[in-house]
Parts: sequence; C-alpha cells; structure tokens
Amino acid sequence: MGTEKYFVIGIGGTGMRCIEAFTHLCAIGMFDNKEIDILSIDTDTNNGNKGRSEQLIDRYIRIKGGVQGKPTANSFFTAKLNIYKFAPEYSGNRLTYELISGLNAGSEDIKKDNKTLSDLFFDDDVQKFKLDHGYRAQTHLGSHLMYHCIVEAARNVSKGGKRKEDLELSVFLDKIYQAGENARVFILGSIFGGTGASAIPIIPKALRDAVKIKDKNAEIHAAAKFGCSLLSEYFSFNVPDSAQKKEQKVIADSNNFSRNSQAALMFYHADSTVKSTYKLMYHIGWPKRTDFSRGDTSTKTITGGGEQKNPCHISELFCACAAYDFFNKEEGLEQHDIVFKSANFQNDSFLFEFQDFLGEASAKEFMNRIGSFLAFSHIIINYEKGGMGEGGAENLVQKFKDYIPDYINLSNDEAKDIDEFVKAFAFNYDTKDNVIPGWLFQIRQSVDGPFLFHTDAFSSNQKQLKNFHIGKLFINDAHQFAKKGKLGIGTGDPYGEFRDTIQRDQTVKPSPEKQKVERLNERFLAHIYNTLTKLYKIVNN
Amino acid sequence: MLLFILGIITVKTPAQLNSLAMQTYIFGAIVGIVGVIVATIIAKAIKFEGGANPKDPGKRRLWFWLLFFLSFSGFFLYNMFVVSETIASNLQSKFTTTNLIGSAISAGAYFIVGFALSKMFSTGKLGSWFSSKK
Repeated sequence: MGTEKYFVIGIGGTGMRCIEAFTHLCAIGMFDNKEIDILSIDTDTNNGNKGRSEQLIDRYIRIKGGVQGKPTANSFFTAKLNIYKFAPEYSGNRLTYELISGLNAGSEDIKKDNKTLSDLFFDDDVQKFKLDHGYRAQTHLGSHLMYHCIVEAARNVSKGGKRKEDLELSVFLDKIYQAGENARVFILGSIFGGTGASAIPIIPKALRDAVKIKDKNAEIHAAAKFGCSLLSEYFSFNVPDSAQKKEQKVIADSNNFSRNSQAALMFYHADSTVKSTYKLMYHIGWPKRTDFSRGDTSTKTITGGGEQKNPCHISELFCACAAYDFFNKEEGLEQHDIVFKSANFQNDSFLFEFQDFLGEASAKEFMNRIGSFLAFSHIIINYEKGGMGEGGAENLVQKFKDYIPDYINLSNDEAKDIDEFVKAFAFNYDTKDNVIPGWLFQIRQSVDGPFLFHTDAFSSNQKQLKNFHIGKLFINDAHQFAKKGKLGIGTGDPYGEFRDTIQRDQTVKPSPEKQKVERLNERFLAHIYNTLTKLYKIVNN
Repeated sequence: MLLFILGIITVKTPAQLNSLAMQTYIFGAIVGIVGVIVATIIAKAIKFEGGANPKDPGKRRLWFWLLFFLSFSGFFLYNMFVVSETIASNLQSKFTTTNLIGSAISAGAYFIVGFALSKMFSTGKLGSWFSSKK
C-alpha cells in the first residue's frame, strides 16, 4: 500500500461536484499520508461547477503550501493534492462535430463519403450542435469526441504544442505512466448526462493510447487499477420548452435521465472493454430526484456555462466515498466487479449513520473528522466572526498570541484561505445576514429526515445558527461537551472549553512526528484538530 | 459590629491593642486572599469572546482591580469605622497605624497572590489580569 500512487479524474458537471466532495473529504483529513493527482475534464470551460471545484482545489493547495506541500496525518488537510485542468478545444473552427471532423474538407467524393459515414452514426442535428456546453446527453457522439480529444492532445504535445490544457493533461499522463503497477485511478462522473457518461467508458483506453502516442515505448502498466462511480440519475432541472428545443435542436432533457442510466448500466454490464479496464465500479443511486431548478419556473434548460452552478447532493459525497474505498482497498481488486451497498431507508427517507459512508472500520474516524471540521467552521464563521466580515482564522490566531506565539506569524493570506475554505465547506452569511449554505449544508439539504448531526447545526435561521452550541454537535451524549448538567453545573460554554483546552492542555499540541506537520498553518490546524478530537472523545488521538 | 452598636469598648490596654494588631494583620491577609478568590470566580464566569475586539480580557482586568480597590479600602474603612469604635480613645491613634499596615497587607496579599495565580495560569482566563491584551 505504501507505494501506491493515487489519481482522480472528474468529468463533466456532476464529475466536478464529485471532485468538490472529494476535496472536502481530503480537507476533513480522510486521506492521511497520500498525494493525489486530480484531473478535471470538462468540455464546458466556463461551467460554474467546474470553476467552483477548481477554485476550491486551488485554495486547498495553497493551504497545503503549494507545490512544496507534503502529505500529513491525523489532522485537517492531510492529503497533498495536485490539480490538472483539461478541456477540449471547442471554439471557432472546432465548435461542432462537423467542423472538428472536417466533413466539408477535401474533394467532393471524400466529403460525400465522410458525410455518409457520419450519418450512419449521428443525426444531422447532432453533427451540427455547438459543443461548448458539453455533449448534451449525446453519449455516442461524446465518447467518440472525448477519446479523440485526449489522443489529439497527446499528439499535439508530442509535436511540441504549447496549449496549456494539453500540457497539463500530458503531465498527468506522465505521472500515471511513472506510477506503473502502483497507479490507482478513480473516475468520477455521472452515467445519465453528457460529458461524464460519454467519457467513463473510454477514459482508460484513451489514457493508455495517449501515453503511447507521447512515447511509443511507454505504456500504462497493465496492472494499474482503474475504478469509477456509476452514478445514476438523482436530479432534474427545467425541461426545455418547444421554443428552446427548436432553437437548440439538441438539448439534454432530464425526463430521459432514467432511461439514459438504464442504457448505460446495461452497456457497462455487457461491454468487454469496460470489464477488462475497470476493476471496480461503484453503483451509486438515489431513490428520488432533487429539483435543481431552485424554484425557477422558467421553461428554459440551462445547458451549461457560468449559470450552471448546481447545488451539491449527497450522492456526490458517496462517489467521493467510493474513491476512498478504492484507494484504501487491499483486496478484491483482482477481478472486475460492480459493487453497491444500501442504508437504512424508512418512511421515504434515509436514516444515515457514519458507518454508511466509509464503512464500519472508518466510521469513528469519519465521525470525528467531519464533526471536528464542522465545529471548526462554526468557530471561524460564528465565534470568530469570519462570516460577519472579519478574518475568523486571523482573529483566532490573535487570541493565541500570548500562549502560542508562533501562530502570530501566520500570514493574512493563509488565514484568509482557511476562512474561505471553511465557508465553502459549511456556510456563510450574506450582507443581509441570510445564511448561504456551503457544501455540507447543501448535502444536508439533499437528505430528508435527520442527518448525522444536531439539526440546529444546519439551521437556515441565522440567529439560531449563530448561537449554535458546538458541544452538542453530536446527538450521542457521550460525544458532547460544555453541557450544563441537571443541577446547572457545567460551563455551557463550548467556545470557552475549546479556548481553555487549546490554550492550557499540553497534550493537544501538534506532534511533528505523528502528524508530520512542519508548516505553521499545518501546525495551527493540527492543534485545532487535536483539541476538538479531545473534546468530542470519539477517538483517542 | 454588635460591640460597636452596643457601644462596648473591648480594647482598653496596650497589650490588648497589640493582640488586636496581630489579628488585624492576619485578617488583612485573609481579606486580600478572599478578594482574589472572588476575582477568580468572576474571571472564570466571564466568557471568552470571539472576534477581532474581544472585551473579555478587559472585563477580567477591570474586575480584578475593582476588587483590589474594594478589598483593601473596605478593610480600611471597616477598621476605621467599626473596629476603632471598640478601642479606648487613648489607643485609637495607635490603631490608625495598625489599620494602615493591615490594609497594606490586604492589598499586598491580594496583589501577590493575584499576580502569582495570573502567571501560574497565564494560558487561562486568569492570565488576563496581567497581560498586554486589550
């Protein structure tokens, strides 16, 4: 296990949100001692979800100290992440399949032959629609184009091309090649939409072929392990009206998502190439569809671009959990398998427990880390007023200046990155004091019924949220602190107990040996992690 | 107090005054220590505040010095108006000196114990008494 190299590829809008979930899992500290290379692939370069997830990873990388950062352990932000961004060039004379394929080039005979061949596979409208908002659920076209754009990028680089996206893909390919048999590659995306569904079946082959194109003597090791999520439909959006259908000609219709999923699953179950390339496929589904139109009653479908910034959903977290399982699996990777698990489902809603996410063995670690990170977010945003226009992490550092003088040297930029990350993770307030749900809040909102923590921890009422008692984050009494007892004994002040513990308790000091924290902000984060771990009494640190 | 109300003079000789002086010094030290204990309870009861401008260290410091002033001035005034009335008039001038010394002992005990506690628990709430924090 020690020599394994880890790679994550997120494809399409849903893939981007899965990467977002994966990054948050890394932030809470679930990937100790690992360096993970992430490749984001989207045809829609301006996609709001792509921008959001890449911004999140960029911030994560800055918190980890950039290129020089190192993996750490038993803390927050333990994995070292590297991001590579690839997007096919779909603009100008490469905006449609027709233009890319050069159907109108050459002699009349060649044009005719090309057109006839294309017509065998694709409708005329499919050949002519603009690709800059993705493949619009046309997976037969998407698979073809995605394969070729990856191969073409490798060809461009081998010829000395300098396109930034191609170069980033090339570095990623080199890393998989260099990892040899120790490479574990996990692919995140949906199987019901356009880009992700198109790419999942062809990615392993495309990567192998691209590596060979770059260097004919090189190849991805036959024992390199590929895994992926098979995420079936879990959301819907405004169905296009006849006017939009007429204008766009080809457009994704969420009414077809179930059929798309079914067709994709049948294909994966039967296709020999898929079976030979993927070791594990994690089938992830949701019993009902969440409406992503967010109350918008228009009859327009947002096809992509900056407007496409869909909220996060717990299914995406499960995809990230699948990646965790794949990366930590020591057995069961010899043969192709499609795996799934289920959770307690009653009265039309899931009753999730911590063990449902990363399994029984990691349940306590997951509980401690996600809970501590949520509590840390509350401290920064509420207690230290990071959500009220102040610098939350900076304020906390100032509190420690007489006790832990080192932290005073934490730069404002580093403190700000911590602030912005926890706001993206948990919540923030707008200028009118309304609660802006972050990732975990959106995850919680996608689940009916109870969800892991005290309900008030996710309140949409700003007053209730600001006064939330972080000592009562967990429902189980054994993991609460700063409670007022029956006789009124006890501080009832969780922030006070946190401050008391971190300032006075020598046992919560970060350990450079065990936690491998060298940089100042890593020590700061480890100190907070140790303190909250001690207070919640879920695991022994 | 009762003796004062009843107008009973209990200290009539220099020997009795010497004995009273020793009691006053001990009582002064006790008052100082009790004052610090009260200041500690109050300091602990004041919650840590978040944000860029927390008021809690200032509040603890304010209470610490307020109790310092109250304990030694209260002790001085008590001796002056209550205890002095139980002393024969020819010995009262000598007791004024005793009172000043006793009050100084009270203030000293308060300050020394407070300072020691503040430094011993400098990473906790008591650390606010003698720190540069606002």
